Amino acid sequence: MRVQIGKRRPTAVVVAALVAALGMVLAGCGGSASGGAGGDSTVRWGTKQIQANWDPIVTGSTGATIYLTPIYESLFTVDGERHVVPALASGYEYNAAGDQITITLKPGLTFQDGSPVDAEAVKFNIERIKTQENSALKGSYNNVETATVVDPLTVRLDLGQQDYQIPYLLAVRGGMLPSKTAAQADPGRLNTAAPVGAGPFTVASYDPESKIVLEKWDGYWDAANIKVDRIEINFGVDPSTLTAGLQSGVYNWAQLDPQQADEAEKAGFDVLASVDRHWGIQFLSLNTNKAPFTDPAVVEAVRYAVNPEEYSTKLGFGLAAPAHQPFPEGHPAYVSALNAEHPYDPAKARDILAKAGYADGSVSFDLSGMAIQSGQIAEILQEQLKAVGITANIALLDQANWGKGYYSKSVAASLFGYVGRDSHVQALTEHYDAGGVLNLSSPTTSPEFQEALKAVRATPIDAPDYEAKLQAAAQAGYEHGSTVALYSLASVVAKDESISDPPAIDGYQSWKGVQFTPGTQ
Amino acid sequence: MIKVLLRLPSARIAIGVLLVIAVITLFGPVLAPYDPLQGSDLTLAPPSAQHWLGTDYTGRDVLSRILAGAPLSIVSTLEVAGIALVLGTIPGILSVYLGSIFEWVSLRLIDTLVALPFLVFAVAMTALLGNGITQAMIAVGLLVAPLFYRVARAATLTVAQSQYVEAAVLAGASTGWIVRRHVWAKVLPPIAITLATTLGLGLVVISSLTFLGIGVQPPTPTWGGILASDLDYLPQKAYAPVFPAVIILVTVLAFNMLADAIRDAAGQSGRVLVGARAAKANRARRVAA
Repeated sequence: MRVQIGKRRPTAVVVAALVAALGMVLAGCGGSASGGAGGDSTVRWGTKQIQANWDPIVTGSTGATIYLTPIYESLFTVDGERHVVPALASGYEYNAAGDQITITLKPGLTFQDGSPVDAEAVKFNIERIKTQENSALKGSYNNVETATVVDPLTVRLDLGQQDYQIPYLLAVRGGMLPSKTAAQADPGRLNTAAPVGAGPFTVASYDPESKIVLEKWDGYWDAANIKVDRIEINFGVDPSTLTAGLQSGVYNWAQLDPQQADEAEKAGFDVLASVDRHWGIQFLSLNTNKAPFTDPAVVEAVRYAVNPEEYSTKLGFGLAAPAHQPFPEGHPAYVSALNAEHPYDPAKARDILAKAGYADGSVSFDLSGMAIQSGQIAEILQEQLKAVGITANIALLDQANWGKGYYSKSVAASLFGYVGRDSHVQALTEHYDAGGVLNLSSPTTSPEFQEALKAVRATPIDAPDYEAKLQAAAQAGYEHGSTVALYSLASVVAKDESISDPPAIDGYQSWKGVQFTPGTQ
Repeated sequence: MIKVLLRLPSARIAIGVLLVIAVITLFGPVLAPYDPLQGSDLTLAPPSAQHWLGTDYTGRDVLSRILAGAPLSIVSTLEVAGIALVLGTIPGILSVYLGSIFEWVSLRLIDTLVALPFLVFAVAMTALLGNGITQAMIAVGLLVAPLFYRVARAATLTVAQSQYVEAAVLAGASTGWIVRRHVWAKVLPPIAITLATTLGLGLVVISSLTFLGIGVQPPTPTWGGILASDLDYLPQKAYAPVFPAVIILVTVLAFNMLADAIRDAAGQSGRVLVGARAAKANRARRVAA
């Protein structure tokens, strides 16, 4: 008996020691996680999205601007009131006719590869936007005809028509400037492997589709305002693991789906989700050059068949609102009259189809979309259309394959979402102008929109009638276009309390002034 | 063998479960209390008297979706097992009898297939042949075939080298006659075991593929697809993935239990088992007497 006890004692000691060691290891893990956040000011960012294109000229998605702005700086940027403020450029001047803008660059700036930020680089990139085959900004730059180097720090843009929107076009999304040297040497490499800009962070390492590590770059013109040392963005993270990732300290910054916002907030994280920061509108793009939408009656029927309310209540989790146009309420281009124009009315939709000679169930089409983004929306839309006798065959694809069909305008209909544009007029041209990335019917555009577009472009942004003209263009565009808005949604970011709030700027994730408060984690 | 099999409690449980699954597969869509594609305003509702397993994100009845998803999930599983069975067993048996060239070529081909990871191959095949469940199942079936080939070949080899078969050959029996008369009976039990295992494996594969959204488009209900979409709403319904997961698990478990039971009941081990049981019963009777 005694012998047995003697034998057992060491076992108990070993178990106790193992438990203690395990405890220390676990404590060590926890310690390093919180120490990392407080010590070296690293933003550890988790997202379900995957960013494949790193050349701002090639990137189709404006929502992806948040991944690009740390690397690339634009000619201009915007402040909290959405006024254009200098960035790489120090200022601009219009000629009297408003069809020529001269931009002056700040002296002595370089890109992260040491090459100069000069007029040549601006001209080169604008020409790339207009000519490079995979450029996603072609439509946005429709009205910019030529770029001319006046002197090394001055570049002049000649415009097709009077246009006071150009400074906004050159701010943030449309004006991010990649290094000329890098783009000239190998545009493919710039896009998929080694992005080089003049922004606050340089690329330290990049694993395609998985992780990018960015380090603070001291050569940035406003480096004194950047307090974050490092940003690590983890792509393709399963959204259901993001909140747990925040809790375990793997991430301290995460882009969440709306259904996770509540959980993250309850777990004690700051949740940033309001339309004054990042909003998105989900919409249905119809291609009026493909059957069955070549018949305007079918387009009209779809507009009445869609019930925006259902998307916002089922998929929004309190962060969404029904949309009848591609702008959220409160946006300068928001037209309240559009809300009443196509109310949800399935009976009327059926009536329109019947009058146009379609038998019940005879209208059908393939509904494209991104599996990662549009699955649930597609299911609801399919039901709503079925209720009026239209068959939508859901054909979701991965991001890359979906993009091929959508951007080449070869699909009949697709679900997509967008996050607005820095230039309000650019948001309109994307949806309704020839060459607009979101205009699935491109090159089709309407004379009504073109006329209203011309008028708003010719109006200086600070003119008293600017908003009225902007809204007139927004209304003409929507009424004669082929975008059917579904719902608006505030994008959700949850962050650790130790990171201070970033500046609230519509659609722009600025890292200026963002800092870590030590000891709060 | 079937009689022996039914004496095993594990076999009776497995067959019972599989019968239930078979009924769900055949009549699932009819048994579903609601339209599995019809949403309602009652989204992400917990289980209740109206909706036994609750509702999903567009307000569809989860029980109805699981029932309606059974045919696609189970039929695809049968498809995988069927393709693998035909493509594996027949060349496996023939490799022993059709001469060295066929043997060498088929062995190399099978070795090649063994080297390919089947989930990745299935994904590649759907990319190549279009995003359909049948394409994926053909790919998986092709890659599971080596399992049957190896088993059938090994079993045939032992028979082919036995003295009574050699005696039959000397007596002038044809290859076809030998295969029908002697080989089938010996090869069948291991094939049955492999088939049951493959059915379990096939369901895991099909569930994995539909979980990843490969081969199906929404709103088609599949067990893997229901599981995947439930994971998006964990904060609202943390228990929701349990329902599709349990039905997948139970079905796979039943197939594996059946495979075990067939192994126990078949051949020498089956005779030993039956003998041991009979002996035990006799002992008990003697003790009682």
